[in-house]
Amino acid sequence: MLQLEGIHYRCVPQLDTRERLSGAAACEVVGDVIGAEIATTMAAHDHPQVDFAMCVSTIMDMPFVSGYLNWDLIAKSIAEHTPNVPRNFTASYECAGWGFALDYAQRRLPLGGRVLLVVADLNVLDISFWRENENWGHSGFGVSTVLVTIPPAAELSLRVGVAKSDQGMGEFCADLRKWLKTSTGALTNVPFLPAEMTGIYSHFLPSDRVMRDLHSDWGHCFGSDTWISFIDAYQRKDIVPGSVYCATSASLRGYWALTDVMVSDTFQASFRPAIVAKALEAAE
Amino acid sequence: MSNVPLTYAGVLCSPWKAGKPTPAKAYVPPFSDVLDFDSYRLMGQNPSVRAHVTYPDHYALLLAILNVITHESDLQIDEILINSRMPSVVRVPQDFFGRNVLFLNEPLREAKLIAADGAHVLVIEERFLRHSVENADNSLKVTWFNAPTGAEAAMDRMADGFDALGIHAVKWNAA
Repeated sequence: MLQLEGIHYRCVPQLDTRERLSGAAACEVVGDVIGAEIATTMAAHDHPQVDFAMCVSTIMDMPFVSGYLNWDLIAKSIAEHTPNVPRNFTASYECAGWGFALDYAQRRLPLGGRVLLVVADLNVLDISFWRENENWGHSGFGVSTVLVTIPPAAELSLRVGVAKSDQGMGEFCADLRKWLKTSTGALTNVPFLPAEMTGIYSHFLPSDRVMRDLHSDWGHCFGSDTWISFIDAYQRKDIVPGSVYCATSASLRGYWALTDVMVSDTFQASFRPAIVAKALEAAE
Repeated sequence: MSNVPLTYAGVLCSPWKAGKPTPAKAYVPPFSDVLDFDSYRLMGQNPSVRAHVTYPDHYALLLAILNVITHESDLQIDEILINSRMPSVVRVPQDFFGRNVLFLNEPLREAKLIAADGAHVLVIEERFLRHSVENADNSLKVTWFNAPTGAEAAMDRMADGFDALGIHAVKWNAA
C-alpha cells in the first residue's frame, strides 16, 4: 500500500507582480515558488532519495497554451532551489492530476519507490474567473508537496477513472461509495465544495467516513483539497500513523482518482504561512 | 531497433470536417476586471494562423490520430506521450484512458528519459489552433523512440492515414 510520508501546503493567494513583466519573468516567479516549496519539504524530511517527481495542476492552462509560460523555463528556475526538479507537468487531468501522475509513476517504478507529487495551482496573471465562479464558489491557490512511497505495482490500490455520462460527480461518488465498501480506509476526503453543493456527498457517502469539507476555510483548492484535508485531519488527530485512509480527487470534467494510503510512522504534515505578494492596482 | 528516433511532421491545412456544422465552444473565461484584459493582452501576442478545429473537434481529431497510429502499427509501443494543451471544454475521449497514454506539457523531455532505459515510446505533439490567444501553428509531429524493426513502414502508413485526415507531411525523415 502507498505510504504517506509527508504533506505540506502553502497558500499563495497572488504571485509577485514581476509575473506581468514577461513570460520569462513569470516562469521565474512560478519556478521560485515551486522550487522553494520542494527545497523546504526535502529539508524537513532530511533529504530522502526521490525516484520520481511530477508537477500537476488544474488551473495553470491558458498561460501555457498561449506560450506565456513554458515548463522548461520553470524547471530551470526550480533547479536553482533544489535538485529534485519535477520531471514534467500536466494540467490535462485537472484536479485528479496527482492520481494520474501516481498511475504513471507505478509504470516507471514497477518495483516501487519514493515519489514527490507537486500540486501547483497558482493563479498566474490573477485571472478573475479562477478566483470565484459558479462551478465551485471561491477558490484557494497554493502549492502542495506530497512525499509518498509507492509499493510494487501489484500492491498499489489506485484507481484513476473517467466518467461515462454527463454526471461526472455522481459517477465519482458512486465509485467512491463502492470503494469504501471494500477498503479498510477508515476515512476519505472529498473535494471542497460550497455547502449548497454538498448534497451529493450526503446522498452517496456514509457521513461517518468522510473528512471535513473545508470549503468555507480554504475555498476550492483543486487537486490540493485532498492534501489539505489530510493535514487538517492529522492535526485534529482524526487520522493517525499506522492506519489506512482513502485519498480522492475528482474534477469538473469527470476525471477522478482513488487510492488507499497508510500514514507512515514518521509522517509529517504542515500548513506553511501564506506568501503575501503585493497586490497590483487594477487601475494601473 | 533503431537508435535514431523516427519522425514525422505535418500540418493540418484545411478545416477538420469542413462543411459540417459543429459547436464552436470557443473558450475564454468572462473578463470581470481591468486586469483580465491586460492578462489576455499579455498572453495573446502570438502570430496568428487560421483555426481549423474547434475545442470539441480538437479531441476528436486527436482521437482520429491515435486511431491511425494504433491501426497502422501492431508493433510494441510501451508508452504514448501526448502534449497537454488545456483548457478543454470537453472531456478527453475514453480511448485515451485505461492504456499507457499520458498527456504532459513536455512529452519529448519525458520520452528521452524513458527511451534511455529502452522503452518503446511514441510521442504525439500537436499544435492545432483552437483560439487566437494560443501559440499554435496547426502542426503535428510524431516521434518514435526505440522504434522496432518494421516501424518505418508503419510510419509510412501512418503518414498516409494522417494525410486522409487533412494533415499533410512537410518533412519525412525515416532515418
